[in-house]
Amino acid sequence: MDVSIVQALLIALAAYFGSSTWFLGVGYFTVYRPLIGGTVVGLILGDVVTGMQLGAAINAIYLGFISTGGSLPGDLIFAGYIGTALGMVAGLDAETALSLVVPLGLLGSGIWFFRMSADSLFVHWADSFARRGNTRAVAAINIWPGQILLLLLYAIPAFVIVYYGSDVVQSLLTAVPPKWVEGLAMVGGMLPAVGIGMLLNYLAKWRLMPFFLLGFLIAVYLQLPTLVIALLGLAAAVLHVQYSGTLSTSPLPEEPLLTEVLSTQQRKPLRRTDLLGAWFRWLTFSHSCYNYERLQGLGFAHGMTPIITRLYDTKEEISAALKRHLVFFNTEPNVGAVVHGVAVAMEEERASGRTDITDEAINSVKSGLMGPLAGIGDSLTQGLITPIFLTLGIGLAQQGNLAGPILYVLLESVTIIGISYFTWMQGYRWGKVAVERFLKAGLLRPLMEGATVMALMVVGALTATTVQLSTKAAVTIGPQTVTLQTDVLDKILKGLLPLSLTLLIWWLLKKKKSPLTVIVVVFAVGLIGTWLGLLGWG
Amino acid sequence: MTQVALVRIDDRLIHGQVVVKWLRHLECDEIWIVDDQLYGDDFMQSVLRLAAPPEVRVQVTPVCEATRRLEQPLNKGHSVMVLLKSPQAALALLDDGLQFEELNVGGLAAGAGTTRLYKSVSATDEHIAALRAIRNRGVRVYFQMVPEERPVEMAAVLPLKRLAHNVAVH
Repeated sequence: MDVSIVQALLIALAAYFGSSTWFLGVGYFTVYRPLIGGTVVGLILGDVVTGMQLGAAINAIYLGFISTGGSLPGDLIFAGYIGTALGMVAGLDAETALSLVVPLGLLGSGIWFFRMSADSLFVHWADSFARRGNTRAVAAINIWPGQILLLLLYAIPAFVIVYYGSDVVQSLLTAVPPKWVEGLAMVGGMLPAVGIGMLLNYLAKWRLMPFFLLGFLIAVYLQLPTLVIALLGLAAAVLHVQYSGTLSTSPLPEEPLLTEVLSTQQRKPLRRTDLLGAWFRWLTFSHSCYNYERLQGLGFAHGMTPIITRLYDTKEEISAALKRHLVFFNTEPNVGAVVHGVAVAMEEERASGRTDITDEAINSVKSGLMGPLAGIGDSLTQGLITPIFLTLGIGLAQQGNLAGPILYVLLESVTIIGISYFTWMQGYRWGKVAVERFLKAGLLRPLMEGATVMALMVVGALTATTVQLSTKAAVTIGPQTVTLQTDVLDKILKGLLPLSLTLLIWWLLKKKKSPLTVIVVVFAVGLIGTWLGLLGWG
Repeated sequence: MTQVALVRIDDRLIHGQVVVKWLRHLECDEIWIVDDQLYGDDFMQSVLRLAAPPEVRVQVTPVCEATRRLEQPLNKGHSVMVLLKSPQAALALLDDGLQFEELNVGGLAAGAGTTRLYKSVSATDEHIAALRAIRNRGVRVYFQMVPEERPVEMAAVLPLKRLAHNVAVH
């Protein structure tokens, strides 16, 4: 397939948008993922189904991808957008393309570090505008310099690699002996086991592993559609939570509930539009200028701008408020949206004359709550919700169904935006007590336990449909030739090799082997095994 | 004595990196937060307890009691992660006689008078002095946010930055 300049430019732009801030805070959960990246690239290259299927396969490798505090293993834009484009343009089969994606993802991980470092400079620029009380400029600096930098950082390499890279890849593959190319395809089939293994390393508890096995067996022997397996997983989750007693015995600590609720009468009223404006800005731009020095500090201040302009009149007050919120801040932005809501409530009280709400009081509430909420938030949004919906989307996409990416984006967006809105408004309404109310309601633990059950079941099914490993070994005894795969292994348990590989990788990760080491082992086993004639397709 | 799997300086205490990555990596079932201010803050203690995974116990102790309590053989078979908000707290524990061979620096917020040392670790002069004192006692001090990241030794981070800071200040 040839790629035109226009197509390469469009892919370069799409690569930027995939990592940009323009998708209501759910960009990181949706367009950033290879499932969506592959679909978009397929659309640009005129073969949406192929792109989607390749993107889905790539996404399986990154199923256990959890970024915390700006530390990112591999880059999903390079893996998803550039990987799909390169695979399609060079005309590679899915498995061979997968083996190229992992090095590509590693190549891109330097971009994140560069961006997090460079964005630190822009924050100081925002500081100087804050001193002058210029809220508009602070907001603009949160958005534009970081985003323009990101555009350059992603679009340029994406264009170069997509436009010129396919020839390089093709000539590389023709230069390499065919046996090794075959080996690369074998590696590609094995790699999704690394993604699943990483997710298991995060999710799995021995007592819940039967659900993983159940999902695997249902997929292998009943071959039920993905959506059906997901619903079975949901049913299993609800039953498990009911019958395991997770609901009734959720352990509440003995500490007394705090009774301090912010009084609503004293408030200098913010309008509904101010609140929505603040929430919307936080939702959309919390990571727009994400940087190592203050992480979401500038995003937090940007979110406060509608509140600050409503509550304060003099330049000094506005400047002080901006500076107050430009400090270091970092949380999981959706569950942690509650902190932004709490800060708005505190600002409102302060502006209404409560002198006990000092800078220190606001700052200590923010910095005290941001950590714990990030812990819960990351576990919930990145660790459970996203892999469950992704597995569903990947499963549908692999069957060539466009509902895969579409349903994924819809489910994920509604859930994440819903969480953000709910927690933000709770924070505004109740102040910091909202956090205790939210945590003590006793719903969180059963919810997470149930989600783990559902995740294990759908991931078990995904193991069956995605991980590929097969042996070509055969033994000739007299006149009879016994092929290990069809005559022995398949008769014991279909999918025994993929299942064993996945569990083995999980075990290696549990033994504290780094994901990179595991990937190197997979490459070595796949390439050498194929070269020796042990691995291969009958 | 309790098995201390990790002593970490991180002023965000229990957050994503700790819950999602370190706890699972080290398989710790107890977190000890050593901090005087938190010891007197019932609300934050309650939030921190609720924020940790259910199977992980969270204890908050003041600095002066930490060493004594960590040395008690009460928690046999448990694996503990000690979280501190500052290098000064780590130094105080050493002064009290608590022994640990390695100190992980995972996060210190930037603020007035800080220099950025490594990723999201920024430090004041007092922080740096405490870190140096800790290293001079033979403790390996290293910077590492999450387990899958390569640890960076203090020697690789501090001397150069320190020089730059001196030039800028004086």
